[in-house]
Amino acid sequence: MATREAGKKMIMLKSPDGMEFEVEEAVAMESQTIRKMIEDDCADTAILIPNINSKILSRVIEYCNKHVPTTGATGAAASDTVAPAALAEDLKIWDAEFIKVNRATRFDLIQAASYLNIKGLLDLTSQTTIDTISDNSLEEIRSFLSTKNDYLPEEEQTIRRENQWAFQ
Amino acid sequence: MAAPPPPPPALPDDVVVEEILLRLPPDDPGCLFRASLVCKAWRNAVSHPRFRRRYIGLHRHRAPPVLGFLHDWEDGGIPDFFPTTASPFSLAAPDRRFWRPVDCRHGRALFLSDRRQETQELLLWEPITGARRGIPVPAAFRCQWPAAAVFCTADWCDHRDCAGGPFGVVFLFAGEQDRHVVTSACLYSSETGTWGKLNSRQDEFTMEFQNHSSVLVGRSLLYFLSDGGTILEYNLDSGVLAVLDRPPDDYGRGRQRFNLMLAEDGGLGVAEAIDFQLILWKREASDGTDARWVLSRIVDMDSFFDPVTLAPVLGFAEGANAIFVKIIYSLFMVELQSEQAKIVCSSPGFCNLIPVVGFYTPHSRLQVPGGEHHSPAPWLKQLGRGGQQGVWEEKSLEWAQVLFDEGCMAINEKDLAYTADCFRHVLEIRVRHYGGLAPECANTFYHYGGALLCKAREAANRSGNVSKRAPNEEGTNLRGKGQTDGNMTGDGDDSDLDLAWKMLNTARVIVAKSPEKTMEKVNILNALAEISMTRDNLSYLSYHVLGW
Repeated sequence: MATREAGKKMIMLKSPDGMEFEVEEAVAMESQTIRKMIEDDCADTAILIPNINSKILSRVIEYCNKHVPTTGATGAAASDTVAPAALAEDLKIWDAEFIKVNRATRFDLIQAASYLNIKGLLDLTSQTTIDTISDNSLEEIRSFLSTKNDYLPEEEQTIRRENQWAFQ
Repeated sequence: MAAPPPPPPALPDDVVVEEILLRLPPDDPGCLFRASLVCKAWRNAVSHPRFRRRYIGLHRHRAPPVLGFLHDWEDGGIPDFFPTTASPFSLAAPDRRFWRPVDCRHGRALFLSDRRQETQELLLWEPITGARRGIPVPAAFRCQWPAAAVFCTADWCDHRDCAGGPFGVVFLFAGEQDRHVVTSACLYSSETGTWGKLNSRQDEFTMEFQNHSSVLVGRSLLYFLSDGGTILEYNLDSGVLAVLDRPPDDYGRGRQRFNLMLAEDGGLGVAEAIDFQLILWKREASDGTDARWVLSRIVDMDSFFDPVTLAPVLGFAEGANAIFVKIIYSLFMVELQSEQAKIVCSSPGFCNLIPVVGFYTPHSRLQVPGGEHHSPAPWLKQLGRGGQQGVWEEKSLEWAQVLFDEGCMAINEKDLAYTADCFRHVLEIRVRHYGGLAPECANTFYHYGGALLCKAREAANRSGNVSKRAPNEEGTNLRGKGQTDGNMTGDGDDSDLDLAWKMLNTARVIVAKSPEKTMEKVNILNALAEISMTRDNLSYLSYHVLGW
């Protein structure tokens, strides 16, 4: 096991605010965008991740660390002793804690997950947001997302008249 | 000094909005519609063709939902389109006082104008885009209750998003010819805008088709059920019209109790409601000539409803595998896979009930014209044959390139179903623009064929260890018993492989004309050879053959 540990390849990720994060290659490759860079041999030195600040990048790495498949270093032993269902349940609980962040951070995470192409994180962040707002009224959604209603009064009136069902 | 309050979070940008809205559940389409009303940016996001592609792509692992149904109930209090969704939803369907719905499939619904009109017409309506188009009925048509069916005719289509493309219509009607009763059928093609040759057969009785809509099996067999219970088969390739025998009368039967459906293996089936049981039959053609009906499954409904004596099957939702059953005064939708049933509405009437199945996303024309048009005439004038092409779909070559890149990215993620879906759309756009055998399309045919080939292999690998149903799917579900066939059908795999062959072969034909494209030829021939060799052994296929 020690040799496997030693043999792990590390990747350096840099945020635009100058922070550097050293992560295992397997963890970094949870991002399809980074995976592609590594596979295309564009990752010899450090990879600069534009538009994602160090605070968000560290959260993203935290997510990837947790979600990287457990086979590998700890190997078959882990998956033999822990039932997959229990692992999935554990991840679910962890995800629920992880996503307890404010709106701004959540939107940043969505943007980061979208850019880095991390499907699990994108699903988690987007689904949580949609679950939060789907039962709200249009006004509540606008206020929650700081969005302004830019329909003209006459446009809104027409929409309401022709789609009464949507406002029941 | 107190700290100033934190500024409100920045407005989420388009990427974030799109990612969030993509997660709205397809079986509750009213949510997407309401989201489009939050602000114009959201409306633009959800009505963009890219959003629709991504939405269907993201939810591709589930069957398209039943959005609701069309019907010809006389009760004026029931809307023309009746939603079956969790929250309120509506589509601006043609007014049934003037248009009787006769069929719905592949994102298109077909209506026949009221029989009291002097000249009858057909109307094609796309539920998602709201587009309408008039189609004249065949000149020979003279009868009160004909049947008609609509279907997509694009070869490479999976029918999840093919509205706006080429389609066909089959029209079936009875009449008299030289003192004989004849039943006739003919086929309309949207590409030529004309009806084909009339195929007729002599029958003993005049058949009427008021109560049932059609079922399409595979790509070439359409089935109709007459009000008297006769099953008719129309072969789209040969034009042959034949009568099929009915399932055995083992359980006692009333004429209006059964309906056509697709069996679990994709073949023709019949759902029959006898007392408090649903009897599901399937047509089994063991050697191609001696087809017969075999019992497929019996679904008990008495655990859910009180035993009742009358339960007609009013409709079958193709693609969603659900049937509509009428029990006393209530209409139920039964999802056959899970055997879950839910009450849809209470209504005393019988009708030909036509489910609308598909993924809803708001169209860029947010509101289609609604109730102010009471007569079919304005539509027909406005949208005569070849009508407003611009209305149908805004697709462009740049969009094709975006999709192509997306497909290539999906390959890297080994997401083959999505890859194939992307390439199919690219092909559709490019073929429409350049023509089917244009050199510009060769590469797309090759990529689409290749993606299908890999998808077929993946499906074949998977089918080895997938069981069909969990044995303990009960709870509030209806219980099923008497299932005679539990094997994995894998019906999609062969069709993927066949389609892959067609696509690659088309690519071969195109590049054969260009002397310089040697590498392309080699790649294509390699892939074709792989299909030939592996029809019996799909696991042999490999990505490297395609150079990926």
